[in-house]
Parts: sequence; structure tokens; C-alpha cells
Amino acid sequence: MKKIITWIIPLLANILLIIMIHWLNHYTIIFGFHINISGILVIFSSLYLKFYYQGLVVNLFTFGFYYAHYEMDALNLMILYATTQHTFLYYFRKKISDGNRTKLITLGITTTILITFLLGTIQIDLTNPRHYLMIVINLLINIAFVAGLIPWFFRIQKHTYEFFELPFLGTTLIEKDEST
Amino acid sequence: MLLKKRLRSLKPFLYLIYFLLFWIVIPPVIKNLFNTGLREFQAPLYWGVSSIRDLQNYWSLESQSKIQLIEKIRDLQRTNAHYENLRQTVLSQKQKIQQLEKILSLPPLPGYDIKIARVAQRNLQQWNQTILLRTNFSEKIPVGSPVIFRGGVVGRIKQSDAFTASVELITNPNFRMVAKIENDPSPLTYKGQANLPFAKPQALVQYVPTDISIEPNKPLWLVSSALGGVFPDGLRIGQIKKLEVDSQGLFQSGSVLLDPELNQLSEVAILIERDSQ
Repeated sequence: MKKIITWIIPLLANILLIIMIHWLNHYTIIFGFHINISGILVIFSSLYLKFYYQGLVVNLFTFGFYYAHYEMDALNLMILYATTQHTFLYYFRKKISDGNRTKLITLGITTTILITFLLGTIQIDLTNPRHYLMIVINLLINIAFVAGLIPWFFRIQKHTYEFFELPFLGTTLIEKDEST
Repeated sequence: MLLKKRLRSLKPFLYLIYFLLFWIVIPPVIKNLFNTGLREFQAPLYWGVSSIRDLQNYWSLESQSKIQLIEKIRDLQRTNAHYENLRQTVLSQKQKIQQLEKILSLPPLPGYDIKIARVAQRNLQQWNQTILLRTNFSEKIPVGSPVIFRGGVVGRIKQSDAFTASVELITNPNFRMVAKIENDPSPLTYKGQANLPFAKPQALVQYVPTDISIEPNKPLWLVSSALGGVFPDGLRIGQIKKLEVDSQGLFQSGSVLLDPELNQLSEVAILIERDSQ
């Protein structure tokens, strides 16, 4: 049971965050901007879940959930992106999973930039210079939001692990994994 | 030994290649099933969130005083009386059209059924401007059906599921439709456009004949054209304030100012062609 909870927590946390952001976007849209936080959704499960497949399943469902109403091309691209990012994060997690606030924020911002440009290039007519300006303004808003949100989002998940008395942090998991 | 350990550490990349190959080879039907399954799974969540929002609105209305409510009822009665007059006019015009169709042996004009739907979610990301509707109707909404609101055209149905339907908005950069200037039959091309934050929504109109000009302080209304086969004739899209001749000099193009309420929709009407049901 504890094994299931271990990887259900990030999945549920991601779904809850997606719903909250959609709720928020319902109102921010009035001012013409949209917050995209999908960049931070892959990070936790890639860094702190014990096995590769657990993080993969969480990321697939999270991105599928986030981009379900998009065109099939965008959904395909984002799923491939999520898998690739998960693999790289999983590979380098020993170096970045120490819960350092600056590292987390940098990671969140990097993924947000990557996703914005990936989606921008696939979905937008790049011959129109207005679109570049729009991407940059939106990106700045998203970066500001992600930088503020990511430490809180990680703390919440950490506390949930503690509440269920599950092993945390990722570093502990990795050390355990390596010793076996 | 060291090489073995290194190779073992590269295992995730092997899994990644396996997954990428699997995802490329997998038939689109299965991908669509995965996508539809996720959308159907989401539907109750968005329904719930949307219902909570409605409840919030209800409680905020509850706090209004009786006098305010009486004033609102009075205003509504006036609006209803105005619409009743309009209804009578429309009915008499419909009868005239039917008589003319009989006399001239013309096929009847396409009719539409109107379904009112609440907006469950506004997703106005610059490259994917859609809204999600709560559609608990007995029949499924046909994909491509036009969606309108009191200000005119909203968009068309892009995806239709059991409980929700996704609408591609006219502000979507990939949106195209046939339009015309009010009281002018020439078909034009309307094109959605990404809009900057904090700016009023705008779009583009292309292939406007050079004989059309705009008088100062008298903007032209861009309306839908039935030539596109999706929207009925004459639904308002936006205003054109300025036109410029293209580089080839054959046509004009300009920007269309859309209704700012497009970003704040809470209820829309779906037009369902009677034959498509």
C-alpha cells in the first residue's frame, strides 16, 4: 500500500495543481494572459520517485491530463518532451535532488522556457513578429509565477510524505537504492 | 567493472529510446483513445469546479439587497418586452420567407437548434485559445457547430465528448472563416491572431476588395458569411477601423477589433444544424 501511495502523491498533487491553475486562469484570462506551469510538474516525480517507471507513469498521465484538450500534434510533442526531460532529470538527480531552493527554481524556469518555445514553434505562425513579442511577455509572466510557486509546491509534497510516514527526501531514496 | 557500472547507469536512456520507438509505432487510434480517456476523466473535475464557481456567484447574488433585485427584475422585464417585439418581427419575416420559397419553389433555408451551455473553463493560451463547455444534452454536439454569444461569433466546436465540448475561439491563431462586410456580398477571409496580454482582442481580415473604404469615425462591421458552410449569414464578428492595400495592390487587409467580452464568456449558445442531428 505504501509503495502505491509513494507515487500516487505526486500524481494527485500534479492534478490538484492543474485544476487550481485552470481555476486561476479562468480569471487571469480577463487580462489576456495565461499561466502555464506544466514545466514544474515533471520535476518532483523525476527527482524523488525511486524507480524510473514510476516517474514515467506519473509524467505521462500528468502531461496527458494537462494537454488533453490540445491538438494531437501538441499532445504528442509534449508527451515525448516529458519523457525525455524525465530521463535526463532521473539521470542527473544525484546532483540536483538535494532540495536546494535555487536549483529547484532554476530547473523550473528552464523547463518553462523550453515548453513555451516548443509549443510556440509548433502552434504559432512565426512569420508574424507580433507573435515573438507575445511569447516573450507571456514567458516572463510564467517565469515569475513558476519561481514563486515551485518551492511551495515541493514543500507541500514533502509534508504529505512526512504525514504518511513515507521516506523522503529523494537523496535518502537514492542512497538506499545505490546501497542495495 | 567500471564500464559495466557506467553502462548500467545509462539504462534510463535505453528505456527512453524504447518508449520513443513505442510511441512512434503505436497506432493513432490508441493515442486517440488515451487522449479521449483523459478528457472524459477530467470532465467531472471541471464540472465540479465550474459548479462551485456558479455557487459562488449565487452566494454573491444572495448578498444583494431586495431593492437591487427589484431594480434588476424591472430591467429584465423591459429587455423581455423588447425581445418579444423582435420575436414577433422575426416570426412575420419567417412566414414571408416561407411564402416566397413556396412561390419560387426554392429549397428551405437551413435551420438551427439553439443549445445554451455554461463555460466550464477558459483556456486562452496564446497558441491554443479554446473554452470548455458543460454539455449535458441528450445528443452529442456535432464537431464544427458554430458557437455564438450576444456579441456575435465565439468560434466552433473542436472536440465533443460525453459531458464537455471544446470550442476553438475566433481569436485562435489557426482559426479561419469566410466573412463579409455588413451590407456587402463580397467574401473575405477572417484570420485569428495571437493577442498581447492586457490588450483588447484583435484579428485580421484579408482579401477586402479595393472599392471598399472606411469613412472617418464610421467603422465597418465584419459579419459571418454563409458561403463558408459553417456559420449562418450576418453574425457579428468585429469592427474594422482601418484598411491597407496589400503589397500586390489587388486587395486590402486590416485588423478587426473583437468584442472584449470574448475573454469573459460565462454562457454561450451552440447552433446545431437540424439536418446534422
